[in-house]
Amino acid sequence: MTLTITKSTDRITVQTITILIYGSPGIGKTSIGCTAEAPLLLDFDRGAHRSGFRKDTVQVESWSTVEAMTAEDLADYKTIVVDTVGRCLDAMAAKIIKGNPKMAGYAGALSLQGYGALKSAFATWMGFLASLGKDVVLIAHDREDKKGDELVFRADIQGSSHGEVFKRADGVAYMHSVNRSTVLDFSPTDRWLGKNPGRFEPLTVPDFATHRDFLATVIADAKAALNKLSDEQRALVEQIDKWNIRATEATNAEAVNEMVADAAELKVPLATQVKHIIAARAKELELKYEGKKGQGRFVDPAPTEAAQ
Amino acid sequence: MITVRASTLESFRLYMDPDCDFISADEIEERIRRGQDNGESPSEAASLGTDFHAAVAGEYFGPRRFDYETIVEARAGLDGSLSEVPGSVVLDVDGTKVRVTGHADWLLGLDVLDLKTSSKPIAPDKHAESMQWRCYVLIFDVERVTYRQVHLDESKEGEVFAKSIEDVVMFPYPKLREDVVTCIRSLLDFARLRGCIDAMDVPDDIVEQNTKPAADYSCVNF
Repeated sequence: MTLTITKSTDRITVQTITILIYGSPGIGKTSIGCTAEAPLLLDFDRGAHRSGFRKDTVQVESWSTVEAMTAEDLADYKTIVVDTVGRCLDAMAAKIIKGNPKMAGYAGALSLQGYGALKSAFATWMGFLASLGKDVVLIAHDREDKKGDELVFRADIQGSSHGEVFKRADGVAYMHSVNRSTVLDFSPTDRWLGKNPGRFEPLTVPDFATHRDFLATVIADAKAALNKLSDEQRALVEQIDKWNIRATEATNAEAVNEMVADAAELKVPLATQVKHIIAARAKELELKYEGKKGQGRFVDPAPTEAAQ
Repeated sequence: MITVRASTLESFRLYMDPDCDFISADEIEERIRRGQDNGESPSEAASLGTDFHAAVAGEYFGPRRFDYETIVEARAGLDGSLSEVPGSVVLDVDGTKVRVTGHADWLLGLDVLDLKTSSKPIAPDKHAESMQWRCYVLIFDVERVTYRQVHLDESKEGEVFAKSIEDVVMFPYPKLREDVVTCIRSLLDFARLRGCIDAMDVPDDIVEQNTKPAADYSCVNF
């Protein structure tokens, strides 16, 4: 088999993403999940019947149900909706404890070692879904915590798994009500956590009867934003590489001064990075700077007596 | 010009956080008066973190021994990046110009990577609330900030190794600048109340000295 190598200058397209959506019960989380592209709902919470927009669903009895799923079973679906990720992790934890009772801590919860196993199992499963080309929507209830006098909202996910889910998700949105509207907000605030891969403004959630592909559009926009970022990054890195090569080839003050002159037209973020490259090269060459800021020039170091 | 370090702003945010009781008002004031340097000699953990940064950058020649695989893993994706890049941005806070300064551990294109070390596991979501990454977005005009959280430990043989290395990626959002300005506004109110606002007024040449990286590049007038 021929090895396919993606060159450093080639584009790597974001094919799949993972989104975490959390909010209070009844806000419409399951329904919004069903507006993703070709969704399969994994109903860990046994609450799919409450959604008026329910699509194909698997009622998950235990983790074994999920383990038994094959690529063929999932072939017709583009998005896997995990409802809720909290219950999913509970099911996974039960399976881990059943397999190794030493993984249990007090009151049937996982031990520290058990949490490590859970983290690893969850990562493996997410990796499996990504390998099949599936987008994943993780649904979670919200949990109210108090911070001083303020109420703050977090996804209701047990223990250290919260951090793991947050880390794995490309986007994290809090779904809540604002003036009789439901809003999906990817931006973090001092009251809730968020991760905004598309610089989304808070999105007003429409009537799903007329907007059946709402989440599909959001996911497509998030992927487009990530791919655009990837393209812009690639173009910028190519320019930085050229400046690095030029700096390496600059062996005296004159060449460095030419770089300074050419860099004057650059804009941030490239300008900051080229500045750093020039500065580092000037230091390596032990150049001195003479004159006022922006008006002076680098000069070569005075020759040493030995050199004279 | 009034100057605020990104790290001071984050310390102040933590001080304002009701769940955080390890930074006092006196410490924030002391920090401002010392030019926002915390003024303390680094703890063993902080010193290990500094050495680890240097080792990842390939610039550590001290007595500590670092596990090779840990260094390789911590360096993943950093080839070609610039390390220890200083920068600043000027923000308008109610008509007052405020300069925010910071150092990116690693910068490449539209990406900043900040290496964080700890002696115990840190929840990846902890960094989401930080003011530091928000400041980096504004200072370096980047589109992505990655926190690389490294949980370090030491073997019986005295070799430092990573128990875990985790990346958490954060992205800019529409109200990010507003959030930073709001936090700076509170910090300025605090400084006025404590009578230390003058200590934040740093002459431009001093800022340049403090943010100078590998060499004087003040000639590069962009």
